[in-house]
Amino acid sequence: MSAPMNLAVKLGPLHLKNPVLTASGTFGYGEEFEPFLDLNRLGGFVVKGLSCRPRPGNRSPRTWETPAGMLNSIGLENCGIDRFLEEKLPRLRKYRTAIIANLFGETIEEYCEVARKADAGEGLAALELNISCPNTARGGIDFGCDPEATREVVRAVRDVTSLPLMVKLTPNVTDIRPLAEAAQQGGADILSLVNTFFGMAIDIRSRRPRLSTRHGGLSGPAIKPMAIYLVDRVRAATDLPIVGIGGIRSGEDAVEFMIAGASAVQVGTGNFVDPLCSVHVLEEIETFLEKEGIQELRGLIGSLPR
Amino acid sequence: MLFETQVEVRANKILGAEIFLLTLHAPDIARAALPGQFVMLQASPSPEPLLRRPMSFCQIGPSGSPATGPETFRILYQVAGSGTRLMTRLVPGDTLSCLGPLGRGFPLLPGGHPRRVVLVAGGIGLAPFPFMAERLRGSGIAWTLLYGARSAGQIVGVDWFRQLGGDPVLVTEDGSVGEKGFVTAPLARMVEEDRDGIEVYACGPDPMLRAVARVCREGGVPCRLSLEAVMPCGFGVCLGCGVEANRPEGGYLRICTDGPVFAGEEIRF
Ligand SMILES: Cc1cc2nc3c(=O)[nH]c(=O)nc-3n(C[C@H](O)[C@H](O)[C@H](O)COP(=O)(O)OP(=O)(O)OC[C@H]3O[C@@H](n4cnc5c(N)ncnc54)[C@H](O)[C@@H]3O)c2cc1C
Ligand SMILES: Cc1cc2nc3c(=O)[nH]c(=O)nc-3n(C[C@H](O)[C@H](O)[C@H](O)COP(=O)(O)O)c2cc1C
Ligand code: FES
Repeated sequence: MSAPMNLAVKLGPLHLKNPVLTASGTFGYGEEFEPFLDLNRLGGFVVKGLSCRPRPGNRSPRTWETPAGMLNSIGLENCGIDRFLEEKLPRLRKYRTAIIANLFGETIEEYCEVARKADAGEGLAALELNISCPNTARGGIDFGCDPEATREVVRAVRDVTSLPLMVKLTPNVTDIRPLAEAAQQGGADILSLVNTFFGMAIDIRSRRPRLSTRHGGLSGPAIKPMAIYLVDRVRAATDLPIVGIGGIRSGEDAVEFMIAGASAVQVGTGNFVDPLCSVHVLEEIETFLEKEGIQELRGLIGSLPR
Repeated sequence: MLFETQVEVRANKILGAEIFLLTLHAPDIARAALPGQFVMLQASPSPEPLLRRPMSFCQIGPSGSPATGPETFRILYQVAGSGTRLMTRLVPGDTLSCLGPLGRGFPLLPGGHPRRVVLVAGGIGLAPFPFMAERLRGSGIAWTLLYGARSAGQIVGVDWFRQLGGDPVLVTEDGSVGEKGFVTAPLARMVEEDRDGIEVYACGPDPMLRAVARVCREGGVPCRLSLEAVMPCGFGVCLGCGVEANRPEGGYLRICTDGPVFAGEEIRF
């Protein structure tokens, strides 16, 4: 047995013991995975998106399986930041892994309120801002689809927190580069990408949408090539560290994102298929490095010629 | 205790019109299973389809010996789409990953002091009841099965219940076997005759469950309903399987972990 490999990565101010995180909305509040895996194995985990007040979420049906993927319209159901801080976080603090709170709102004030509360919560390693949310002040267009709104919301949140700030980009734009630049200008430390792609499925017999909300977000292996493409584009536009997300199920998938420029990855839908998926991804990255004789992750990250 | 393991296919037999009985070797899961609980089963040894399928425990065992306990369990499934179609191709020796036992099943002992538990099955909703009936018999509680299906070809497993000492009441929509119509007709009669002596456990399509819930509500008979939903994870993390909660503050319950079996008054559906 060789010495355990050092897989530590630095994402600006956020230091992780390894590059494998789990994606928001696919890992509950962490505790749901305790029966399956030792959370200490992970580089970190991102909890379900949190808002100022609890949200009940959308009516059912909320999910539908598609080729190599799934659509969801959960509607950001969550217990609210207060309950998370009071009931969930204290139990999670015992873990020596990065706990990252994913936050969202419908107005800049709501984003700031939830971020201020999260900042005061003890034991969080970073905040991830979900900006794939309708901006009610601007006729409902997603914050993340509008460079101006992206800059504004990131800057406003930057002002109320000293925690490392990760901004999660939406893929539902014609050109992702101005959004990445806007997030950087707003003060983001890290960019994570991507969130789900807009999608839809129809029951051809009843001629009704499969989801109660008509449209939903597509995730899973089906989106991996599109997500890698977007990592490549973002890398060309900013020098912020990137966390790659989209259809990762294996160590090889993760390595592909890392070669494209991601310093770390998040496993999403893969957690549903196999609750141990994130740990397998980590082990397979190690195996890959060993087999290829690569000593350090640095030799891998962004090794694709620009 | 919850297990994520590789299970081996021991048999996969056709029983009726697109209805199959799958025997899986999985001692850990078989020993921990309770009636009304389910597993999330990979539908095929290949990576497609992506998500596992929720399937109820239909029968447990038989055990190798009393000392070792059961080593296998059975799943009764009906072809409903691409995943269950792939399941029909499983052959002995295939291995699949399987997660379970999951969810909260039917109460092993009925709540009040009913003289009889009435099991109401619609179509493939029969799946959890062989195991349930066996447990009820083991506890010395009387039971009756009301079993409805579209037509005779979809009626399977009647002998299992006869071997357990029951005399299933059969109902088909086309009248090809048993009474013609819906299971709620004999159910309504039983409720009428003996409303203080029965409790109802039901599993089947939503319209049937709604009708059962209505008959029970009107008759003042307690009922437990096993609900279905598309279940991406089955263990409570995706929040994809919500059913509206019947409580003042509203919100949703997760069918996979808060259910799949609910008391009629817990849900609004
Ligand atoms: C707790 C529970 C226990 C179940 N037990 C059994 C059982 O013992 N025997 C049996 O035959 N069936 C059972 N079902 C239903 C079974 O899971 C679906 O028929 C099956 O998933 C359909 O998959 P498919 O790929 O053939 O269909 P497709 O229509 O191709 O599936 C597309 C997607 O929809 C989902 N889906 C489609 N129909 C249903 C449905 N009715 N319920 C849930 N998900 C659905 C699939 O899982 C898949 O993700 C159970 C469902 C639940 C929730
Ligand atoms: C059921 C479900 C719920 C999700 N909820 C959130 C959420 O609350 N906040 C968020 O930022 N992203 C959410 N996502 C997006 C994922 O975090 C991830 O970006 C996306 O699924 C792509 O990764 P994947 O292909 O590995 O799943 C959700 C995804 C799914 C499938
Ligand atoms: S199926 Fe995922 S929460 Fe119920």
